Amino acid sequence: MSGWLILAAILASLSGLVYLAWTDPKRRRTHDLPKIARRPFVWPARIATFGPGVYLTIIGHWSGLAIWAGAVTTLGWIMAAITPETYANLREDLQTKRASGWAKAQQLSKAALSVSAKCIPGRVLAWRIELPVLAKAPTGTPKLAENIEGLKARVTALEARLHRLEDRQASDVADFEARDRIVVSVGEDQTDKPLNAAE
Amino acid sequence: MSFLTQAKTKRFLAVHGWSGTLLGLLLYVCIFTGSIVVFEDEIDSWSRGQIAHHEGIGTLVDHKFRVTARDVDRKYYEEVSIFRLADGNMRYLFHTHETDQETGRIVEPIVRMTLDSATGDVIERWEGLRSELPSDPGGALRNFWVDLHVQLYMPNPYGIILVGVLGLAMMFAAVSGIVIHRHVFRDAFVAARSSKRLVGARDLHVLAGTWGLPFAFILAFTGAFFGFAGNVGVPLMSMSAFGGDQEAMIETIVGVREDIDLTPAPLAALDFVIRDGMSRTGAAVNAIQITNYDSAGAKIMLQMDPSPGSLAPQTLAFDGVSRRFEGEAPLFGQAPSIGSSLLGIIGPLHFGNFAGLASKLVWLGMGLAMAFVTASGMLLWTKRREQDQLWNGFRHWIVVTVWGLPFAMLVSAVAYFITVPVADPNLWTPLGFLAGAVVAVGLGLRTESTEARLQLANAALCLAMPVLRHLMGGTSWAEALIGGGTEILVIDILLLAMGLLLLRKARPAVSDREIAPITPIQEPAE
Amino acid sequence: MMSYLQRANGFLQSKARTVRWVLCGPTTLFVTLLLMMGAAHWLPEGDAKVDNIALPVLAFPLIWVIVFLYALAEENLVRGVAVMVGLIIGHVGMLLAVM
Repeated sequence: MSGWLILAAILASLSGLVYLAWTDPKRRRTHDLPKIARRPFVWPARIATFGPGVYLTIIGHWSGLAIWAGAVTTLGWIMAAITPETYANLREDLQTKRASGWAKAQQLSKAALSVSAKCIPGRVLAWRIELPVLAKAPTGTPKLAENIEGLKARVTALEARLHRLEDRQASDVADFEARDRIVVSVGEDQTDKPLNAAE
Repeated sequence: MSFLTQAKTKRFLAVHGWSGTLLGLLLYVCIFTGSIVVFEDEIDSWSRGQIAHHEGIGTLVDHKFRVTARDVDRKYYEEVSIFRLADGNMRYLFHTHETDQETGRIVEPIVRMTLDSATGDVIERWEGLRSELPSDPGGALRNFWVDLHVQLYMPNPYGIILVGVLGLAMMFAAVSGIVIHRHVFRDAFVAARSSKRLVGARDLHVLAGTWGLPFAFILAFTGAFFGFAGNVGVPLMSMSAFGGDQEAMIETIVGVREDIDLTPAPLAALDFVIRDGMSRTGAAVNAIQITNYDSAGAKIMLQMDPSPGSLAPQTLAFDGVSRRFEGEAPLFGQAPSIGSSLLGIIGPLHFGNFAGLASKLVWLGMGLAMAFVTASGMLLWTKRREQDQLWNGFRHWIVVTVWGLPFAMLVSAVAYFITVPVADPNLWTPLGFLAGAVVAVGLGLRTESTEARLQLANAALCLAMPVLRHLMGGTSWAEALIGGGTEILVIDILLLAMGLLLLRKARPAVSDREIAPITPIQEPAE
Repeated sequence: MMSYLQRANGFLQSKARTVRWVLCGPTTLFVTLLLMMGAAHWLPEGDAKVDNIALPVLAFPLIWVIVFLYALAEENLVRGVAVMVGLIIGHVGMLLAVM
């Protein structure tokens, strides 16, 4: 019972902190995020953040208060310390994974449908299922297409850059090897000559 | 702000930075080990490979105790303690106080018995002076890590006082941190900017410091209290309030029970007293103390676990014959007082042991956050001065310490596991730590990718530890799963997870450096 | 009177760094211990007659931080030295009188 109470208190405070962090002007400014004009829920968020602590104090649940305070400061720190860029990367990762998961599920269901379509009841079933499933594309898909286009463009750009670098490096290496050969040949000459001379 | 002139801020920053730099490495060792030994009981049963019991001493104590006590000389009945050991076995401690004829000092002869948890048979009996108790090889790892935190493994009382000084420094660092930074609330959500320059390092330190502030203060305050109370505070107070008469002080604090009725009388049924105590507080009994057992003047004290919602554990007093409840026995003095109540919460607030695993996990998190504040502060201070060769070198050794400490602790655990069956781990565990420290320093001598190398070394030991523990005869996962040995499973899994995490973090860094291209890749000018 | 103060100030300012060190280091520690010991005689004992002993021991780290912050923050070195010396003399006198 009291365990759930404390957990609820921690979660309530964290939800408040998430809002405060997300809309925090200085955080957005230092990480080049677009400005948010209005922050209508600042006070509710502040109450959600500190309220549970006040509540635990009023009911005299001291151990709960200590755990709540420790957990909120530690988790709040971790949440605030992760940069918006990292969050964005995580979200992108998650989206591509979800999208690829969706694509796989679609493939599987298509395969299953084509198998079931070999018999007439299956065909009926297929017709019925296929309509809603395939007609209503997932909302993530257009964005996915955009993402793919964006990624393709980026890959081309990066490939071009890589080629340039490779060319430069190749010339560097050629240059380096040429110098190396000179050194080696000079060395050989030096070691060989006295030997030859001795012979 | 009118309070802060520029000169004042400068002074505060200088003391904050310099004290942090001079004491920072020690402070880091103290804080990091402290956050680990929050789990000292769990580490103890994990290292012993034994399945721990949390149910307190249970409610069926009476009969076994009476039968066992018959084999003990009556003179030891003066004080009896009953409690459960980490491995589930019961411990009976009968003791008395005598004056040594030769030295004139008060000594404490004891009879110590260990009873098997399942059969109730006496499996160990030891008689002698308390000061001569044999060392416990199984607890070597826990004791060493705790010593490292409490007194930096230095001789008593210097280590404890030094740690107390560290606590004072940390309190000042927390307070002066706010004074210097000023925008605690405005910057509470500013994550570190991804700049290679100073500002990123500053963001890291300031953010962690801001959030860690309240508990940094509490942990430092309680820690400093522990550092000074016993060695400095109490002797000085006895001098001041009692003119140096320690006995008078003890009489005031503990009280003297004169004319105790020692005519034989049977003890009240312990099991009833235990149930009474449990129903009064809603908590389990942690230990029982009986004074003047088997006499009319007997008293029973129950040390309870903290009841739900409270921080401090209670001690309940009962009449030993009639089992009448006499009230709560204060920690300090003979009647309830503000001082005693406040002293009672110092321990729980420092150890985080008032609500089982939940509070311990939170305390671990806060401890590690604080270790991060210390390390990031030192790195910031030295980054400011990285043009200077000396500071830059120091910066390198800070990194070595940050990763070398956990590595040396892991090596001490390896030494413990290897030597427990064949030698005295009380000797080898600290030596293992020393060896680990030497290896860490050795790895630090190569300046490139030191951090990744040390991370890899840590990862290797984290991954090897559960295997080693198992090979040296520790409880297997199957046994732990069936027998309820949660801490064995949790610590093993945490170690494996830590190992994999560090491996993932360190490997690309090491291999990157290994095949680093000769020419740095430059941004194309487009 | 004024000129004495000015001379004292001049002397302390000329050795400002040393004075600050002595003030924040040994003096702070000494004053803290004296404040703790002195409190045993003016704090109320409470019903259990232990509060006047327990509370000062408990507050020791807190007293230290407060005294240290004062010694560090005080801009007027003459006043800083006067306060600390005053505390020392007052407490030593009181302790000698009651002990």
